[in-house]
Amino acid sequence: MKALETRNLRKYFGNVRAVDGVSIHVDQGEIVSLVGPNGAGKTTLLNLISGLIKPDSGEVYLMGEDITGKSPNQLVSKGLARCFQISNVFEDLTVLENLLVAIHSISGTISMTKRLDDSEAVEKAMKILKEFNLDVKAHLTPKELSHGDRKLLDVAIAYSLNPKVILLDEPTAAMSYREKKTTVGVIKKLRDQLRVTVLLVEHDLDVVYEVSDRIVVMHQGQILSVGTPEEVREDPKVKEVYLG
Amino acid sequence: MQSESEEVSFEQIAIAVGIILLALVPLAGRHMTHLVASALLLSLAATSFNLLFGYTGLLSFGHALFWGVGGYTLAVMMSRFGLGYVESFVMAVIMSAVFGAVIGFLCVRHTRIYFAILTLAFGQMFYGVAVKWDFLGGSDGIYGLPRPFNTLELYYYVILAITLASLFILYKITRSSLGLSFMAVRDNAFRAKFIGLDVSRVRLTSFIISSIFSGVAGALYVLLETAISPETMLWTHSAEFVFVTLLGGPRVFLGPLVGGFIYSFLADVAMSATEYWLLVIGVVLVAIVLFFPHGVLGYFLKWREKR
Ligand SMILES: Nc1ncnc2c1ncn2[C@@H]1O[C@H](COP(=O)(O)OP(=O)(O)OP(=O)(O)O)[C@@H](O)[C@H]1O
Ligand SMILES: [Mg+2]
Repeated sequence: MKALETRNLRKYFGNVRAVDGVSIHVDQGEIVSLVGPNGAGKTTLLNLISGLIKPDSGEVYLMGEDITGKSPNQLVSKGLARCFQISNVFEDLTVLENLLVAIHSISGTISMTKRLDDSEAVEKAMKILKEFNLDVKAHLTPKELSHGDRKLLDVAIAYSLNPKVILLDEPTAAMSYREKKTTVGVIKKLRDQLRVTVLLVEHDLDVVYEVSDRIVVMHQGQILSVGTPEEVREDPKVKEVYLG
Repeated sequence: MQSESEEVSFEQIAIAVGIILLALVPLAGRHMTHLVASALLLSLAATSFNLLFGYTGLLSFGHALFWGVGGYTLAVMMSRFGLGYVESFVMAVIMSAVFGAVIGFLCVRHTRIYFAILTLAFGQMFYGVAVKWDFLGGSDGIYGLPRPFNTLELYYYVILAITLASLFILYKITRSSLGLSFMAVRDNAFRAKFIGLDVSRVRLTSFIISSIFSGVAGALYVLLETAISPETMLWTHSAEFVFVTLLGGPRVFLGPLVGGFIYSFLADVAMSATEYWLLVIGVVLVAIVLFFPHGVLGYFLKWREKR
Protein backbone atom coordinates (compact mmCIF):
# COMPACT_ATOMS: atom_id res chain seq x y z
CA MET A 1 0.00 0.00 0.00
CA LYS A 2 1.13 3.51 -0.78
CA ALA A 3 1.68 5.36 2.49
CA LEU A 4 2.54 8.59 0.71
CA GLU A 5 2.00 9.68 -2.84
CA THR A 6 2.33 12.89 -4.82
CA ARG A 7 0.63 13.33 -8.16
CA ASN A 8 2.00 15.84 -10.57
CA LEU A 9 2.96 18.35 -7.87
CA ARG A 10 3.99 21.73 -9.16
CA LYS A 11 5.36 24.78 -7.38
CA TYR A 12 7.02 27.73 -9.07
CA PHE A 13 8.65 30.65 -7.32
CA GLY A 14 8.43 33.35 -9.98
CA ASN A 15 10.25 31.70 -12.84
CA VAL A 16 12.11 29.22 -10.62
CA ARG A 17 10.52 25.84 -11.25
CA ALA A 18 11.27 24.52 -7.77
CA VAL A 19 8.98 21.49 -8.10
CA ASP A 20 7.87 20.79 -11.62
CA GLY A 21 5.37 17.98 -12.00
CA VAL A 22 6.61 15.50 -9.41
CA SER A 23 4.88 12.15 -8.96
CA ILE A 24 6.47 9.85 -6.42
CA HIS A 25 5.25 7.37 -3.87
CA VAL A 26 6.51 5.67 -0.76
CA ASP A 27 5.11 2.26 0.13
CA GLN A 28 4.23 1.46 3.69
CA GLY A 29 7.29 0.35 5.62
CA GLU A 30 9.73 1.64 3.02
CA ILE A 31 12.62 4.03 3.30
CA VAL A 32 12.76 6.11 0.15
CA SER A 33 15.59 8.59 -0.25
CA LEU A 34 15.28 11.77 -2.19
CA VAL A 35 18.60 12.95 -3.55
CA GLY A 36 19.74 15.60 -5.98
CA PRO A 37 22.06 18.56 -6.25
CA ASN A 38 21.56 21.79 -4.29
CA GLY A 39 18.47 23.61 -5.40
CA ALA A 40 16.94 20.50 -6.97
CA GLY A 41 13.68 21.13 -5.11
CA LYS A 42 13.90 18.49 -2.40
CA THR A 43 13.07 20.74 0.54
CA THR A 44 10.32 22.41 -1.45
CA LEU A 45 8.81 19.00 -2.13
CA LEU A 46 8.84 18.20 1.60
CA ASN A 47 7.30 21.60 2.28
CA LEU A 48 4.50 20.83 -0.15
CA ILE A 49 3.86 17.41 1.35
CA SER A 50 3.89 18.63 4.94
CA GLY A 51 1.49 21.49 4.26
CA LEU A 52 3.93 24.32 4.85
CA ILE A 53 3.30 25.69 1.38
CA LYS A 54 0.48 25.01 -1.05
CA PRO A 55 1.15 23.58 -4.50
CA ASP A 56 0.26 25.48 -7.67
CA SER A 57 -1.26 22.21 -8.86
CA GLY A 58 -1.18 18.50 -8.15
CA GLU A 59 -2.19 16.44 -5.13
CA VAL A 60 -0.72 14.72 -2.10
CA TYR A 61 -2.14 11.51 -0.63
CA LEU A 62 -1.45 10.09 2.81
CA MET A 63 -2.60 6.49 3.31
CA GLY A 64 -4.87 6.96 0.31
CA GLU A 65 -6.48 10.15 1.59
CA ASP A 66 -6.17 13.40 -0.32
CA ILE A 67 -4.37 15.77 2.05
CA THR A 68 -3.54 18.53 -0.42
CA GLY A 69 -3.72 21.97 1.16
CA LYS A 70 -4.19 20.73 4.74
CA SER A 71 -2.32 22.64 7.42
CA PRO A 72 0.76 21.18 9.12
CA ASN A 73 -0.97 20.73 12.46
CA GLN A 74 -3.87 18.86 10.85
CA LEU A 75 -1.42 16.58 9.06
CA VAL A 76 0.38 15.75 12.28
CA SER A 77 -2.80 14.31 13.73
CA LYS A 78 -3.22 12.27 10.54
CA GLY A 79 0.17 10.69 11.10
CA LEU A 80 2.58 12.82 9.09
CA ALA A 81 5.60 14.23 10.91
CA ARG A 82 8.72 15.95 9.68
CA CYS A 83 11.99 17.36 10.82
CA PHE A 84 14.02 20.18 9.37
CA GLN A 85 17.18 20.76 7.40
CA ILE A 86 18.29 23.37 9.91
CA SER A 87 17.49 21.91 13.30
CA ASN A 88 14.34 23.47 14.53
CA VAL A 89 13.53 22.87 18.17
CA PHE A 90 12.20 24.67 21.26
CA GLU A 91 15.25 26.53 22.49
CA ASP A 92 14.21 27.44 26.02
CA LEU A 93 12.60 24.13 26.90
CA THR A 94 14.65 21.21 28.13
CA VAL A 95 15.26 18.27 25.84
CA LEU A 96 12.69 16.31 27.83
CA GLU A 97 10.12 19.11 27.58
CA ASN A 98 10.73 19.32 23.83
CA LEU A 99 9.39 15.78 23.60
CA LEU A 100 6.74 16.16 26.29
CA VAL A 101 4.97 18.95 24.47
CA ALA A 102 4.88 16.87 21.30
CA ILE A 103 3.60 13.83 23.18
CA HIS A 104 0.87 15.80 24.96
CA SER A 105 -0.08 17.48 21.73
CA ILE A 106 -0.51 14.26 19.78
CA SER A 107 -2.27 12.45 22.64
CA GLY A 108 -4.73 15.31 23.06
CA THR A 109 -3.67 15.79 26.68
CA ILE A 110 -2.92 19.51 26.51
CA SER A 111 -4.79 20.70 29.56
CA MET A 112 -4.31 22.86 32.62
CA THR A 113 -4.87 19.89 34.88
CA LYS A 114 -2.27 17.67 33.18
CA ARG A 115 0.88 18.08 35.20
CA LEU A 116 4.22 18.50 33.51
CA ASP A 117 5.69 15.65 35.51
CA ASP A 118 2.83 13.34 34.52
CA SER A 119 4.59 10.00 34.80
CA GLU A 120 3.06 8.32 31.76
CA ALA A 121 4.19 11.05 29.36
CA VAL A 122 7.60 11.40 31.02
CA GLU A 123 8.14 7.66 30.78
CA LYS A 124 7.26 7.66 27.11
CA ALA A 125 9.52 10.64 26.43
CA MET A 126 12.45 9.10 28.30
CA LYS A 127 12.03 5.86 26.37
CA ILE A 128 12.25 7.73 23.09
CA LEU A 129 15.23 9.78 24.28
CA LYS A 130 16.98 6.56 25.14
CA GLU A 131 16.49 5.27 21.61
CA PHE A 132 18.13 8.45 20.35
CA ASN A 133 20.96 8.32 22.91
CA LEU A 134 19.69 11.57 24.39
CA ASP A 135 18.40 10.29 27.72
CA VAL A 136 21.41 11.52 29.71
CA LYS A 137 20.86 14.98 28.22
CA ALA A 138 17.17 15.14 29.09
CA HIS A 139 17.57 18.13 31.39
CA LEU A 140 19.78 20.23 29.17
CA THR A 141 18.42 22.86 26.82
CA PRO A 142 19.08 22.53 23.08
CA LYS A 143 21.64 25.36 23.32
CA GLU A 144 23.80 23.08 25.42
CA LEU A 145 23.72 20.24 22.86
CA SER A 146 26.22 19.47 20.13
CA HIS A 147 25.11 20.07 16.55
CA GLY A 148 24.58 16.36 16.03
CA ASP A 149 22.46 15.99 19.14
CA ARG A 150 20.30 18.93 18.08
CA LYS A 151 19.59 17.23 14.77
CA LEU A 152 18.80 14.01 16.62
CA LEU A 153 16.47 15.89 18.95
CA ASP A 154 14.69 17.31 15.91
CA VAL A 155 14.12 13.76 14.63
CA ALA A 156 13.14 12.57 18.10
CA ILE A 157 10.45 15.25 18.33
CA ALA A 158 9.02 14.15 15.00
CA TYR A 159 9.19 10.52 16.05
CA SER A 160 7.46 11.18 19.37
CA LEU A 161 4.37 12.21 17.38
CA ASN A 162 3.68 8.56 16.64
CA PRO A 163 3.81 9.14 12.89
CA LYS A 164 2.86 6.70 10.15
CA VAL A 165 5.08 8.62 7.75
CA ILE A 166 8.08 10.72 8.68
CA LEU A 167 9.87 13.20 6.43
CA LEU A 168 13.54 13.75 7.25
CA ASP A 169 15.39 16.66 5.67
CA GLU A 170 19.13 15.98 5.74
CA PRO A 171 19.26 14.51 9.24
CA THR A 172 23.00 13.76 9.04
CA ALA A 173 24.14 17.11 7.61
CA ALA A 174 27.35 18.29 9.25
CA MET A 175 27.38 15.40 11.69
CA SER A 176 30.50 13.64 12.92
CA TYR A 177 31.10 10.07 11.80
CA ARG A 178 29.87 8.71 15.12
CA GLU A 179 26.75 10.85 15.09
CA LYS A 180 26.02 9.69 11.54
CA LYS A 181 26.27 6.09 12.71
CA THR A 182 23.74 6.75 15.45
CA THR A 183 21.42 8.49 13.03
CA VAL A 184 21.65 5.71 10.45
CA GLY A 185 20.79 3.28 13.23
CA VAL A 186 17.82 5.41 14.20
CA ILE A 187 16.54 5.64 10.62
CA LYS A 188 16.75 1.89 10.18
CA LYS A 189 15.08 1.36 13.51
CA LEU A 190 12.24 3.62 12.42
CA ARG A 191 11.47 1.21 9.62
CA ASP A 192 12.46 -2.16 11.06
CA GLN A 193 11.21 -1.93 14.63
CA LEU A 194 8.89 1.01 14.79
CA ARG A 195 7.19 0.42 11.42
CA VAL A 196 7.37 4.01 10.33
CA THR A 197 7.50 4.87 6.64
CA VAL A 198 10.37 7.22 5.84
CA LEU A 199 10.97 9.76 3.11
CA LEU A 200 14.56 10.85 3.54
CA VAL A 201 16.31 13.79 1.93
CA GLU A 202 20.04 13.17 2.20
CA HIS A 203 23.24 14.36 0.57
CA ASP A 204 25.53 11.70 2.00
CA LEU A 205 25.31 8.90 -0.57
CA ASP A 206 26.89 6.36 1.80
CA VAL A 207 24.01 6.89 4.16
CA VAL A 208 21.54 6.79 1.27
CA TYR A 209 22.86 3.50 -0.14
CA GLU A 210 22.95 1.94 3.28
CA VAL A 211 19.39 2.64 4.39
CA SER A 212 17.26 3.06 1.27
CA ASP A 213 14.82 0.60 -0.23
CA ARG A 214 14.44 2.90 -3.20
CA ILE A 215 15.98 6.16 -4.32
CA VAL A 216 14.40 9.09 -6.13
CA VAL A 217 16.77 11.45 -7.91
CA MET A 218 15.57 15.00 -8.43
CA HIS A 219 17.09 17.59 -10.69
CA GLN A 220 15.81 21.07 -11.45
CA GLY A 221 12.42 20.36 -9.97
CA GLN A 222 11.86 17.13 -11.87
CA ILE A 223 12.33 13.43 -11.28
CA LEU A 224 15.43 12.25 -13.06
CA SER A 225 15.50 8.64 -11.98
CA VAL A 226 13.79 6.22 -9.60
CA GLY A 227 14.89 2.76 -8.56
CA THR A 228 16.70 0.50 -6.13
CA PRO A 229 20.12 1.67 -4.95
CA GLU A 230 21.79 -0.60 -7.53
CA GLU A 231 19.64 0.67 -10.39
CA VAL A 232 20.16 4.30 -9.53
CA ARG A 233 23.89 3.86 -9.03
CA GLU A 234 24.18 2.53 -12.59
CA ASP A 235 21.88 5.10 -14.21
CA PRO A 236 23.94 7.16 -16.69
CA LYS A 237 21.63 10.19 -16.30
CA VAL A 238 22.36 10.24 -12.58
CA LYS A 239 26.11 9.98 -13.13
CA GLU A 240 25.89 12.91 -15.49
CA VAL A 241 24.15 15.14 -12.95
CA TYR A 242 26.45 14.21 -10.11
CA LEU A 243 29.71 14.22 -12.04
CA GLY A 244 29.05 16.63 -14.87
CA MET B 1 21.65 17.79 41.70
CA GLN B 2 22.14 17.93 45.43
CA SER B 3 21.30 21.60 45.48
CA GLU B 4 17.93 20.93 43.87
CA SER B 5 16.17 19.72 47.01
CA GLU B 6 17.89 22.47 48.93
CA GLU B 7 16.64 25.06 46.45
CA VAL B 8 13.07 23.85 46.69
CA SER B 9 13.15 24.13 50.45
CA PHE B 10 14.67 27.60 50.22
CA GLU B 11 11.86 28.67 47.94
CA GLN B 12 9.27 27.07 50.15
CA ILE B 13 10.63 28.88 53.19
CA ALA B 14 10.70 32.17 51.31
CA ILE B 15 7.11 31.72 50.23
CA ALA B 16 5.95 30.67 53.71
CA VAL B 17 7.66 33.68 55.28
CA GLY B 18 6.14 35.90 52.61
CA ILE B 19 2.64 34.63 53.30
CA ILE B 20 3.04 35.08 57.06
CA LEU B 21 4.27 38.64 56.57
CA LEU B 22 1.35 39.34 54.26
CA ALA B 23 -1.06 37.98 56.85
CA LEU B 24 0.37 40.34 59.48
CA VAL B 25 0.13 43.47 57.31
CA PRO B 26 -3.07 44.90 58.92
CA LEU B 27 -1.10 45.27 62.19
CA ALA B 28 1.05 47.87 60.42
CA GLY B 29 -1.77 50.35 60.05
CA ARG B 30 -4.24 51.48 57.42
CA HIS B 31 -1.78 53.09 55.09
CA MET B 32 0.37 49.99 54.88
CA THR B 33 -2.68 47.76 54.51
CA HIS B 34 -3.95 49.80 51.62
CA LEU B 35 -0.52 49.92 50.02
CA VAL B 36 0.03 46.18 50.23
CA ALA B 37 -3.49 45.46 49.00
CA SER B 38 -2.85 47.59 45.91
CA ALA B 39 0.55 45.97 45.43
CA LEU B 40 -1.05 42.52 45.58
CA LEU B 41 -3.58 43.43 42.92
CA LEU B 42 -1.02 45.05 40.66
CA SER B 43 1.11 41.94 41.08
CA LEU B 44 -1.78 39.64 40.24
CA ALA B 45 -2.56 41.63 37.11
CA ALA B 46 1.11 41.66 36.10
CA THR B 47 1.42 37.91 36.71
CA SER B 48 -1.58 37.25 34.50
CA PHE B 49 -0.20 39.67 31.90
CA ASN B 50 3.03 37.69 32.09
CA LEU B 51 1.27 34.42 31.29
CA LEU B 52 0.75 36.01 27.90
CA PHE B 53 4.09 37.84 27.71
CA GLY B 54 6.75 35.76 29.42
CA TYR B 55 5.14 32.38 28.87
CA THR B 56 3.40 32.75 25.51
CA GLY B 57 5.58 35.41 23.91
CA LEU B 58 2.88 38.01 23.24
CA LEU B 59 3.35 41.56 24.50
CA SER B 60 -0.04 43.09 25.28
CA PHE B 61 0.03 46.83 25.66
CA GLY B 62 -3.62 47.09 26.52
CA HIS B 63 -4.03 44.71 29.39
CA ALA B 64 -5.45 47.32 31.73
CA LEU B 65 -8.54 46.97 29.54
CA PHE B 66 -9.32 43.68 31.27
CA TRP B 67 -8.67 45.19 34.67
CA GLY B 68 -11.23 47.79 33.63
CA VAL B 69 -13.70 45.23 32.33
CA GLY B 70 -13.54 43.36 35.64
CA GLY B 71 -13.79 46.59 37.62
CA TYR B 72 -16.59 48.21 35.64
CA THR B 73 -18.61 45.01 35.52
CA LEU B 74 -18.47 44.69 39.27
CA ALA B 75 -19.29 48.36 39.79
CA VAL B 76 -22.18 48.29 37.31
CA MET B 77 -23.64 45.08 38.71
CA MET B 78 -23.63 46.52 42.22
CA SER B 79 -24.65 50.11 41.56
CA ARG B 80 -26.96 49.72 38.56
CA PHE B 81 -28.43 46.24 39.06
CA GLY B 82 -28.22 45.96 42.82
CA LEU B 83 -26.46 42.60 42.79
CA GLY B 84 -24.49 41.43 45.83
CA TYR B 85 -20.72 41.17 46.09
CA VAL B 86 -20.43 37.56 45.13
CA GLU B 87 -22.80 37.72 42.16
CA SER B 88 -21.15 40.89 40.91
CA PHE B 89 -17.73 39.35 41.25
CA VAL B 90 -18.80 36.26 39.33
CA MET B 91 -20.22 38.49 36.60
CA ALA B 92 -16.93 40.39 36.50
CA VAL B 93 -15.03 37.15 35.96
CA ILE B 94 -17.43 36.06 33.22
CA MET B 95 -17.25 39.41 31.43
CA SER B 96 -13.45 39.40 31.57
CA ALA B 97 -13.47 35.99 29.94
CA VAL B 98 -15.93 37.11 27.25
CA PHE B 99 -13.94 40.26 26.46
CA GLY B 100 -10.76 38.22 26.51
CA ALA B 101 -12.23 35.73 24.05
CA VAL B 102 -13.51 38.34 21.60
CA ILE B 103 -10.55 40.72 21.72
CA GLY B 104 -8.10 37.83 21.90
CA PHE B 105 -9.70 36.28 18.83
CA LEU B 106 -9.11 39.51 16.93
CA CYS B 107 -5.53 39.93 18.17
CA VAL B 108 -3.81 36.53 18.32
CA ARG B 109 -3.42 36.17 14.58
CA HIS B 110 -0.87 38.95 14.85
CA THR B 111 2.38 38.88 16.77
CA ARG B 112 5.16 41.17 17.93
CA ILE B 113 4.64 44.88 17.40
CA TYR B 114 1.36 44.31 15.53
CA PHE B 115 -0.08 42.44 18.46
CA ALA B 116 1.17 45.09 20.88
CA ILE B 117 -0.35 47.91 18.83
CA LEU B 118 -3.67 46.12 18.39
CA THR B 119 -4.03 45.48 22.11
CA LEU B 120 -3.02 49.07 22.80
CA ALA B 121 -5.67 50.27 20.37
CA PHE B 122 -8.38 48.17 21.99
CA GLY B 123 -7.38 49.46 25.40
CA GLN B 124 -7.59 53.08 24.28
CA MET B 125 -10.85 52.42 22.48
CA PHE B 126 -12.56 51.15 25.61
CA TYR B 127 -11.04 53.93 27.66
CA GLY B 128 -12.80 56.25 25.22
CA VAL B 129 -16.05 54.36 25.65
CA ALA B 130 -15.84 54.58 29.44
CA VAL B 131 -15.17 58.34 29.33
CA LYS B 132 -18.10 59.05 27.04
CA TRP B 133 -20.73 56.61 28.23
CA ASP B 134 -22.95 57.96 31.01
CA PHE B 135 -24.07 54.49 31.98
CA LEU B 136 -20.48 53.91 33.13
CA GLY B 137 -20.38 57.26 34.88
CA GLY B 138 -18.45 59.09 32.18
CA SER B 139 -15.14 60.63 33.17
CA ASP B 140 -16.06 60.50 36.87
CA GLY B 141 -16.54 56.76 36.76
CA ILE B 142 -18.60 54.99 39.38
CA TYR B 143 -18.01 55.76 43.05
CA GLY B 144 -19.46 55.38 46.50
CA LEU B 145 -19.55 51.59 46.41
CA PRO B 146 -19.78 49.83 49.77
CA ARG B 147 -16.76 47.83 50.86
CA PRO B 148 -17.36 44.24 51.98
CA PHE B 149 -17.37 43.91 55.81
CA ASN B 150 -17.11 47.71 55.97
CA THR B 151 -13.54 47.52 57.18
CA LEU B 152 -10.34 47.77 55.22
CA GLU B 153 -8.65 45.15 57.39
CA LEU B 154 -11.17 42.39 56.73
CA TYR B 155 -11.41 43.25 53.06
CA TYR B 156 -7.62 43.07 52.92
CA TYR B 157 -7.89 39.39 53.81
CA VAL B 158 -10.39 38.84 51.02
CA ILE B 159 -7.91 40.37 48.59
CA LEU B 160 -5.06 38.36 50.04
CA ALA B 161 -6.97 35.08 49.83
CA ILE B 162 -8.23 35.57 46.29
CA THR B 163 -4.86 36.84 45.06
CA LEU B 164 -3.00 33.89 46.57
CA ALA B 165 -5.55 31.45 45.15
CA SER B 166 -5.30 33.07 41.72
CA LEU B 167 -1.51 33.00 41.80
CA PHE B 168 -1.67 29.35 42.78
CA ILE B 169 -3.93 28.54 39.83
CA LEU B 170 -1.72 30.52 37.45
CA TYR B 171 1.33 28.72 38.80
CA LYS B 172 -0.33 25.34 38.29
CA ILE B 173 -1.12 26.34 34.72
CA THR B 174 2.51 27.18 34.02
CA ARG B 175 3.47 23.75 35.36
CA SER B 176 0.89 21.93 33.22
CA SER B 177 0.97 20.58 29.70
CA LEU B 178 -1.09 23.61 28.70
CA GLY B 179 1.60 25.91 30.08
CA LEU B 180 4.19 23.89 28.21
CA SER B 181 2.27 24.44 24.98
CA PHE B 182 2.35 28.21 25.69
CA MET B 183 6.12 28.08 26.06
CA ALA B 184 6.53 25.96 22.94
CA VAL B 185 4.57 28.53 20.95
CA ARG B 186 6.66 31.29 22.49
CA ASP B 187 9.94 29.59 21.62
CA ASN B 188 9.10 28.45 18.14
CA ALA B 189 5.61 29.00 16.76
CA PHE B 190 6.74 27.58 13.44
CA ARG B 191 7.78 24.24 14.86
CA ALA B 192 4.77 24.23 17.16
CA LYS B 193 2.55 23.73 14.12
CA PHE B 194 4.60 20.70 13.17
CA ILE B 195 3.94 19.01 16.49
CA GLY B 196 0.23 19.41 15.87
CA LEU B 197 -0.48 22.52 17.91
CA ASP B 198 -3.04 24.99 16.64
CA VAL B 199 -0.93 28.04 17.38
CA SER B 200 -3.77 30.57 17.28
CA ARG B 201 -5.82 28.46 19.63
CA VAL B 202 -2.95 28.08 22.08
CA ARG B 203 -2.43 31.85 22.04
CA LEU B 204 -6.13 32.52 22.46
CA THR B 205 -6.32 30.17 25.45
CA SER B 206 -3.46 32.01 27.10
CA PHE B 207 -5.08 35.34 26.26
CA ILE B 208 -8.40 34.38 27.85
CA ILE B 209 -6.85 33.03 31.04
CA SER B 210 -4.71 36.14 31.24
CA SER B 211 -7.76 38.39 30.78
CA ILE B 212 -9.73 36.59 33.46
CA PHE B 213 -7.12 37.12 36.16
CA SER B 214 -6.50 40.72 35.16
CA GLY B 215 -10.26 41.15 35.49
CA VAL B 216 -10.20 39.54 38.93
CA ALA B 217 -7.57 42.04 40.03
CA GLY B 218 -9.58 44.94 38.62
CA ALA B 219 -12.79 43.81 40.29
CA LEU B 220 -11.12 43.46 43.68
CA TYR B 221 -9.48 46.86 43.27
CA VAL B 222 -12.83 48.59 42.78
CA LEU B 223 -13.93 47.60 46.26
CA LEU B 224 -10.59 48.57 47.73
CA GLU B 225 -11.03 52.09 46.33
CA THR B 226 -14.85 51.89 46.52
CA ALA B 227 -14.73 53.53 43.09
CA ILE B 228 -13.59 53.06 39.52
CA SER B 229 -12.62 55.65 36.94
CA PRO B 230 -11.76 55.37 33.23
CA GLU B 231 -8.07 56.03 33.96
CA THR B 232 -7.76 52.44 35.13
CA MET B 233 -8.00 51.47 31.45
CA LEU B 234 -5.58 54.10 30.19
CA TRP B 235 -2.46 52.88 28.43
CA THR B 236 -0.25 54.14 31.25
CA HIS B 237 -1.84 51.55 33.49
CA SER B 238 -1.18 48.84 30.89
CA ALA B 239 2.41 50.04 30.76
CA GLU B 240 2.64 49.53 34.51
CA PHE B 241 1.96 45.81 34.04
CA VAL B 242 4.73 45.66 31.46
CA PHE B 243 7.12 47.58 33.65
CA VAL B 244 6.45 45.66 36.79
CA THR B 245 7.01 42.42 34.90
CA LEU B 246 10.33 43.54 33.42
CA LEU B 247 11.33 44.81 36.82
CA GLY B 248 10.81 41.49 38.59
CA GLY B 249 11.68 39.21 35.68
CA PRO B 250 9.37 37.76 33.02
CA ARG B 251 11.02 34.33 33.01
CA VAL B 252 10.36 33.64 36.68
CA PHE B 253 6.83 32.94 37.82
CA LEU B 254 7.02 35.24 40.86
CA GLY B 255 8.96 37.91 38.96
CA PRO B 256 5.92 40.15 38.38
CA LEU B 257 4.95 39.80 42.05
CA VAL B 258 8.37 40.97 43.20
CA GLY B 259 8.26 43.73 40.59
CA GLY B 260 4.77 44.75 41.70
CA PHE B 261 5.89 45.20 45.29
CA ILE B 262 9.07 47.07 44.42
CA TYR B 263 7.13 49.38 42.14
CA SER B 264 4.32 50.03 44.61
CA PHE B 265 6.62 50.78 47.53
CA LEU B 266 8.92 52.89 45.43
CA ALA B 267 6.01 54.93 44.13
CA ASP B 268 4.67 55.34 47.67
CA VAL B 269 7.96 56.60 49.08
CA ALA B 270 8.76 58.84 46.13
CA MET B 271 5.27 60.28 46.06
CA SER B 272 5.40 61.45 49.64
CA ALA B 273 8.96 62.76 49.28
CA THR B 274 8.74 64.85 46.14
CA GLU B 275 6.29 66.10 43.60
CA TYR B 276 8.66 64.83 40.91
CA TRP B 277 7.97 61.28 42.05
CA LEU B 278 7.23 60.05 38.55
CA LEU B 279 10.67 61.20 37.43
CA VAL B 280 12.27 59.50 40.42
CA ILE B 281 10.67 56.14 39.81
CA GLY B 282 11.33 56.52 36.12
CA VAL B 283 15.05 56.90 36.72
CA VAL B 284 15.22 54.10 39.28
CA LEU B 285 13.25 51.74 37.08
CA VAL B 286 15.30 52.46 33.98
CA ALA B 287 18.43 51.75 36.01
CA ILE B 288 17.05 48.47 37.31
CA VAL B 289 15.94 47.30 33.89
CA LEU B 290 19.32 48.26 32.41
CA PHE B 291 21.39 46.56 35.08
CA PHE B 292 19.15 43.58 35.73
CA PRO B 293 18.01 42.54 32.28
CA HIS B 294 16.36 39.39 33.66
CA GLY B 295 14.59 41.35 36.34
CA VAL B 296 15.39 41.58 40.00
CA LEU B 297 14.11 38.14 40.93
CA GLY B 298 15.58 36.58 37.80
CA TYR B 299 18.93 38.10 38.69
CA PHE B 300 18.73 36.96 42.29
CA LEU B 301 17.96 33.35 41.34
CA LYS B 302 20.83 33.31 38.84
CA TRP B 303 23.15 34.67 41.49
CA ARG B 304 22.06 32.01 43.97
CA GLU B 305 22.54 29.31 41.35
CA LYS B 306 26.10 30.47 40.68
CA ARG B 307 27.14 30.38 44.32
N1 LIG C 1 10.42 30.46 -0.65
C1 LIG C 1 11.10 30.49 -1.80
N2 LIG C 1 11.07 31.58 -2.60
C2 LIG C 1 11.75 31.63 -3.76
N3 LIG C 1 12.51 30.63 -4.21
C3 LIG C 1 12.60 29.51 -3.48
C4 LIG C 1 11.91 29.39 -2.23
N4 LIG C 1 12.19 28.18 -1.70
C5 LIG C 1 13.01 27.58 -2.58
N5 LIG C 1 13.27 28.36 -3.64
C6 LIG C 1 14.08 28.01 -4.80
O1 LIG C 1 13.59 26.78 -5.29
C7 LIG C 1 14.67 25.95 -5.70
C8 LIG C 1 14.62 24.64 -4.95
O2 LIG C 1 15.01 24.88 -3.59
P1 LIG C 1 15.01 23.76 -2.48
O3 LIG C 1 15.33 24.40 -1.18
O4 LIG C 1 13.76 22.99 -2.56
O5 LIG C 1 16.23 22.86 -2.95
P2 LIG C 1 16.91 21.63 -2.20
O6 LIG C 1 16.87 20.50 -3.18
O7 LIG C 1 16.31 21.37 -0.89
O8 LIG C 1 18.40 22.14 -2.07
P3 LIG C 1 19.49 21.85 -0.91
O9 LIG C 1 20.07 20.53 -1.23
O10 LIG C 1 20.46 22.95 -1.06
O11 LIG C 1 18.77 21.86 0.41
C9 LIG C 1 15.94 26.74 -5.46
O12 LIG C 1 16.29 27.37 -6.68
C10 LIG C 1 15.54 27.77 -4.45
O13 LIG C 1 16.28 28.95 -4.58
MG1 LIG D 1 16.97 21.41 1.07
